[in-house]
Amino acid sequence: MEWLFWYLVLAMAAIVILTFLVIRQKHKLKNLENLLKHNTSRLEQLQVDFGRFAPQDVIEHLTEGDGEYAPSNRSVTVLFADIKGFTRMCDKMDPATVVSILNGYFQCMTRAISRHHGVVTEMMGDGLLALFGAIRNNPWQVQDAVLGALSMREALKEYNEKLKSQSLPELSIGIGIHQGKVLAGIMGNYQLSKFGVVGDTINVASRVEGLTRLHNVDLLITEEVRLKLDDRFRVKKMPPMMVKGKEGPVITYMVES
Amino acid sequence: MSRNLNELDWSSPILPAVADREWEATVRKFMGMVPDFMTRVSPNGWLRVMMLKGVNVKAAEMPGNLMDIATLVCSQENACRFCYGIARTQLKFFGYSDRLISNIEQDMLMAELDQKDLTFIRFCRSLARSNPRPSKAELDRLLEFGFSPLQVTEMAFQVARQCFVNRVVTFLSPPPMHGLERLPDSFFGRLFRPIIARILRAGGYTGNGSFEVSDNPFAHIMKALTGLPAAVFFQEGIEGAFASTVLSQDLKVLMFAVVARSLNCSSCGTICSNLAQNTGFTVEEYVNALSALKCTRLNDQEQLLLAWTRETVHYQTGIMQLRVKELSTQVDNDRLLEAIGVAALANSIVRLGILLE
Repeated sequence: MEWLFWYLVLAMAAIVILTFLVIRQKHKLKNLENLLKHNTSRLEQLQVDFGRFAPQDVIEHLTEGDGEYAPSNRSVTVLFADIKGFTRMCDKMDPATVVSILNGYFQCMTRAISRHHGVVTEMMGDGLLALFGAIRNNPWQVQDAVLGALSMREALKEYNEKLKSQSLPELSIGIGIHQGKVLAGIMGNYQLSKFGVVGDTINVASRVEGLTRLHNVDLLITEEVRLKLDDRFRVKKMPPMMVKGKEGPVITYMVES
Repeated sequence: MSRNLNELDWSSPILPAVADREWEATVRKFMGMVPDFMTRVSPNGWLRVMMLKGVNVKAAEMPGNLMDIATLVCSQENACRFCYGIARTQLKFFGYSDRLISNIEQDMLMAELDQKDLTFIRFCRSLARSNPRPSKAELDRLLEFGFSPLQVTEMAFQVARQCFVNRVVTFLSPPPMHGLERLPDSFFGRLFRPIIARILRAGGYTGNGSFEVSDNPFAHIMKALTGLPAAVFFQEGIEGAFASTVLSQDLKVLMFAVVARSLNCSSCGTICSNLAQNTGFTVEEYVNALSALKCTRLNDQEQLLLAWTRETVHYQTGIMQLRVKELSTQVDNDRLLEAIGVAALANSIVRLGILLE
């Protein structure tokens, strides 16, 4: 009978140990699940926060694909905008006021651009670079860019009213639009990278934006852009001008409406 | 893309519910209940039939569990709060645990999901998103994992069908079915889960038996779907949409063309161009209409609907529902309802067209 007693004791002990192990494993699993849930929500938050630094579609490609964003040559419409006389304004004003004016300006302009399917990919000082058709196929990219620029013109009028009511100086901008092939992709190194585009199209758009000062207008488009516009848009031809990096003179048009 | 059901934007209903006893009886017979959105599509003959069939098409080739997953993934990808809630509820009735559902939603590499399932889920996401359009390599990968060509075709159909349902529901914005969503976790839900699951699995649209490709503009897609209930579903939908007189033929052709252009589907683009010529467009009129998204052959309300069509390809739910709400003040209800159906149908057909290129 004694052996039966010890057999039962051993069996009980084994059951207790097994139960303990199962409970411990379950506890561990629960902790791991909580940790996973916590990290998942942190990652999602990070993705939302990261959206302020790069276009959302690019982030989704990076986080949901294999971590690569294949560079490609695409036809893109590039919009460059710059505040005229901003450096002078900075010298005369309180830095906090300058930053506040600039932030308000970028907010209005970004809203106007995204309403017309554009993406602001860079803000450099008082300048901004917006792309149409860089991330998604957009057969209406040229019209969108010009409509976006016209919206920017309207948005600036409203913003200037607000600045005026606060006794702050009004802003005036120059916008240049060009269309052509660019190389789009994630550029940089392991420490610092960004979604960007490179190519002559970007340079031309930037030079055309510069021409707005010489022609004393706010919105210029190139011949390539004008050819793709329909009769909704009223444009006026400007005298051809030489720009840096181009052999011949560049023909531009001012968009009236 | 939000992973959480409660984080999805959702507006109040956009078009009114219209009582139609005969229609409600038909819906009840097929579904056992009358969901709110069925009363909002009731004024449009072809659309309401498509919605009734589209909410539950029986899989002919694919395992039912993968079809369930595809429904969930597409609803999540299209951020359709209503459909996403229903898809989750359905999976719970079928016995999926919360953890497994969460793994599917997050594409997690867990023990319950193998590489084959994950590849399938990614394909569903890719086609639903179509940005960029799914590549041939993605299709080949599915075949490599042992799916048959007809199974892959059914997979694509399932995504296209769900994109259709998601779009119609999102654009109409019916109130989410909170009561139904809570049911699987309730006492009675748990008690009757096996019976409910059996009823859900037993139902579903199976096509009309024999099928012949009709002389419809997208016959090449129907041909590819032959052998599946999908073929009947989309063929009847296209025939119904083009036979309807609520919107002009001109607008419907242009809406398909706009979606084809947005998704860069050259074969669908060619079909639309031929359709436009048959409808009486000159080449110049058609090119100008597509370029400016304006056309003198359309009336004022139809002009607004044409410009809106491009926004239906990729959208954010909250912004889109605001946009449809704005349209509902400018366009009469019958036209808007049909335009919602045509836009949803065009998005699904062109997504299938892309895969055949």
